[in-house]
Amino acid sequence: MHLSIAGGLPCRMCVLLFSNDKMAKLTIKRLSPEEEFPDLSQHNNHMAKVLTQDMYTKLRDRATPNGFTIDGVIQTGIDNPGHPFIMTVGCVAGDEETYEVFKELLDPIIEDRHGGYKPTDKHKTDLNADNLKGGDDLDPNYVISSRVRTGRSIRGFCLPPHCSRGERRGVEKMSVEALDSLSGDLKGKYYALKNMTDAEQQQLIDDHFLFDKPVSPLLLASGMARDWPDGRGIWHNDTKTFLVWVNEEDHLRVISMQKGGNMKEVFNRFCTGLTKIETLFKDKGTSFMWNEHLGYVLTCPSNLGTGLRAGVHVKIPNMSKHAKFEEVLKRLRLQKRGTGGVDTAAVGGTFDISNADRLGFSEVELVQMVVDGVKLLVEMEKKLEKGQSIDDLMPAQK
Amino acid sequence: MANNFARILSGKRNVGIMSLIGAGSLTATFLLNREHVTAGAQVRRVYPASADYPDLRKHNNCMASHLTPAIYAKLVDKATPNGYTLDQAIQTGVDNPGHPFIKTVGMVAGDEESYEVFADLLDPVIKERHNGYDPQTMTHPTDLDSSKLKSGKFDERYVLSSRVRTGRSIRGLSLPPACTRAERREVEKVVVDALAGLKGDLAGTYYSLTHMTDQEQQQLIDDHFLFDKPVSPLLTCSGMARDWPDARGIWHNNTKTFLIWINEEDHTRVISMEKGGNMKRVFDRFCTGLKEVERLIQEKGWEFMWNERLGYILTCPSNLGTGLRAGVHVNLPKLSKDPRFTKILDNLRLQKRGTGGVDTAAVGSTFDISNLDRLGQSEVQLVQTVVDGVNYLIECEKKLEKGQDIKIPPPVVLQLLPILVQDVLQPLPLLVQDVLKPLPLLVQDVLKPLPLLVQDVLKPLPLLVQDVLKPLPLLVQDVLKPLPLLVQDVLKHLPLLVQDVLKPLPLLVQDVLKPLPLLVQDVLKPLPLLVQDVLKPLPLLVQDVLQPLPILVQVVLQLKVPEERVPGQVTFLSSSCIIIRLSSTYTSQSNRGNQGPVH
Repeated sequence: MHLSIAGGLPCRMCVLLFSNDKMAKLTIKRLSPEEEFPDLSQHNNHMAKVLTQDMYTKLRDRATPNGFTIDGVIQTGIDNPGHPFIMTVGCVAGDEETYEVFKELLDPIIEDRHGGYKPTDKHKTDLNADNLKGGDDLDPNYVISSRVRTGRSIRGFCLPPHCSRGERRGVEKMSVEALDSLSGDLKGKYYALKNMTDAEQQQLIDDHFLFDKPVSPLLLASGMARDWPDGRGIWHNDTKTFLVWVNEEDHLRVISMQKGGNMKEVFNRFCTGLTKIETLFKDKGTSFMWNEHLGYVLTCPSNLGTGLRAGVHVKIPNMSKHAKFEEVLKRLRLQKRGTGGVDTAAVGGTFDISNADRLGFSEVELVQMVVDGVKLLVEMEKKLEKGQSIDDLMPAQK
Repeated sequence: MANNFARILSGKRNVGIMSLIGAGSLTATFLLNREHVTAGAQVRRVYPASADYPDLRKHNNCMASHLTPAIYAKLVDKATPNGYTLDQAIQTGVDNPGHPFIKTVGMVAGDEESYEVFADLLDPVIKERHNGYDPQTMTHPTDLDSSKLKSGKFDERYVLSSRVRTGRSIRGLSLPPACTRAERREVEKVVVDALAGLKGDLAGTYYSLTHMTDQEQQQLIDDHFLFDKPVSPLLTCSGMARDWPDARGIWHNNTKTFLIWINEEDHTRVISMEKGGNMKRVFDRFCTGLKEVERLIQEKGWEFMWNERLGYILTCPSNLGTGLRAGVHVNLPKLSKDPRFTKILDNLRLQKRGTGGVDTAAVGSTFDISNLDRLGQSEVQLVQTVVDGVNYLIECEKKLEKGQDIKIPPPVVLQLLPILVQDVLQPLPLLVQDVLKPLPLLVQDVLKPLPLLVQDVLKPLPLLVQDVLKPLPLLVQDVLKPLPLLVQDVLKHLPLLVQDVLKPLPLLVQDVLKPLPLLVQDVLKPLPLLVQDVLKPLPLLVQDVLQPLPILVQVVLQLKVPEERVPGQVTFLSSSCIIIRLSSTYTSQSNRGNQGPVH
């Protein structure tokens, strides 16, 4: 292969972005797009399904204003050909602008992943907990615990795959300032991962709050675990019902949880806490990453929209062995996981049941689905215990 | 930057880099896709260097020891021509605070230029890791002449296998932490093309990791050749495992004694190995193979990354210089349990590993013993160190078997002759010769004007004198000849201020020799009166004057032997670190005691 410079630029391309004193020079060297295109013949993830040579050729000449490129977006999908249980997304965002700059790739992935969500669709955000009907009476004999989680990103900062150490520390500082000004039953304390005492660490482990450096190659390959544990930490309120992870897979992961089946209370606290935090950020002159097409913007395209996973740990040994279990879940728009979280198996008939959707439904709608769905599952379980049939309880597809 | 243009225009390589600096933002505008990045839009660095400086307080690696906030601030806005930055280079050291057993390096190079652009950090790291080697002032010797290896065959009752490995990088292509997919594929193509040209006992086959059949894979596992995607976070955090297994593969010759890994931690890893103890043959094949491969890539216009400061350039600074690890799997049941084992290895400049490689434990009493050093000594020197050292270990084992006691050998310290000392030693023999040359002529000139009468009377005298004087210069030379060697031998024990001591030496010798012709004249003048009486004792006088000379020199130079090293600690005697190999009593022992296969 020989280089030929015929009347203009060679097929090798170089992008140089200049700098002033404060900024860095970025020189990207590339050989031809055909030579650089990844080998995805063994791959099975959303990115591999969608990315073509033409698309790659077009997208690789672009960079977000923060210098994030297509190779950064897709690296995790190249390094992880497929997951045995689930069809993974295979790409991440390095900043808010990724979803714009690399639209051609991300829109079809979002459509495929989020049940046909179109590039022109609008997403509803509804964090008014009063709109939730019921949800305070899930049978505690079956429902062991209730939990709602979501993520938030702080506008103006790069996301975990691409942020610098300074940015990550900036996110931490701003978040901790905001959280420290919460009061009442939301009042709490921040534990930085790198300054934790052994006693604090043990307590957080016992509370099942502590998160550790990710080991999954799906996460590591995206670069989000760089500089661990710098800038990472856990904040929780004194009553241990409201918990925030700082700089794990997203800038913030916000979790509201408690034992028992009172999802309404959990959701109340969730919405109150989130709204308060958002107000505090606005007071400081920034906000969460949000737009009316994608809702809340997070690192993984699978968490766009609400980023919300509302779920319960529920004992359904009979129901889970029923032939129609999967079908019921599908119709209710719910998904099952083991009680250790994603990629774990259920222990002794106790499952983690949560909403399957994230985008295209509001927070209230999703939690409503979980509340109604779990109620139905518990009814079915009771029937099966008595040896009765559940055929008349079969739900319609939501 | 002109370099890069020249490279593109030469068309010899497939890699083209265009960096348009200073040509104005117009050009940048033209190149960028305007949809999403506006003209002159800059890469946003919101924070000053101090905000991005990593928290290294709990870290223990070479990078953390040397990366001060000042150096970070100086280098963080720089990038190599390929766009590789300091943050990328140090990421692995930030993510991996410390290894329980060894002080890791904590940084990598993304390309050849990294070693220049980030020299402010890499030079002290190299110095620490390579026992004081200073890339700014020292040069690294490369020597792949395997014929120089002495007695490279081990007793096979102890040595189970022998192996030599190194790495090579292809100049013009980025290294594994930073290479793009296309560059990696280019490396594969260049190397595989070259390897296809190997013949004879080096002829072999390439197995690409992506296209391997199950059967081929199983065979490679059984041969212990297969390498897998790295799991060590030390490696994965540097980015070298991206796009696995694209463009990775294994090549080996048909006799399975010469093996090359492509695009693992380096562009290539070259391994020569055999069962048994014939390290000589392993090293022969190693050198032959390497030179052949180099020749074959040069035919196509490529070359290896090499320079005389750092030797062969590889991804990890710990592998600079020779990148060579020569080792054996050796069974030492008694010696390995001896409490002096570690100290013996230290002094022999060897390291032990388990038979699974780095970070593994030994199985039973079989160890992987190899050289510690990589940079500052040549390939031949390092393999010789291993040969000598392993022979010594076997000797110890045999002694312990017989219930005899063993000795800890004196430390084999590094030969890092700074250029200064070499410069002082080199002219010495010439200086001495220059002083001696005019001597016989001087003597003849003195004798010539003697009056004819005296001549008639003294006719036999000149002959006598000549006969007496003739052997003089030779005598003087014979006495002085061993001087430079003696001096070298003596100097080898010198403390570091050799220069100050050596400088007056030639003058000293001159001073001693200068009065010689005058001495002779003075002796010859009263010839008519007491010729024979005066001449007879002359040679003896001269001998008496000359004989003590070498001893005089020794006394003048004041021998000083360096102290023994503390185990496990590398001591620097000065920034230039000169200590020279002591007379190796243990090598003569090992030669004596070698009862295995004939050298």
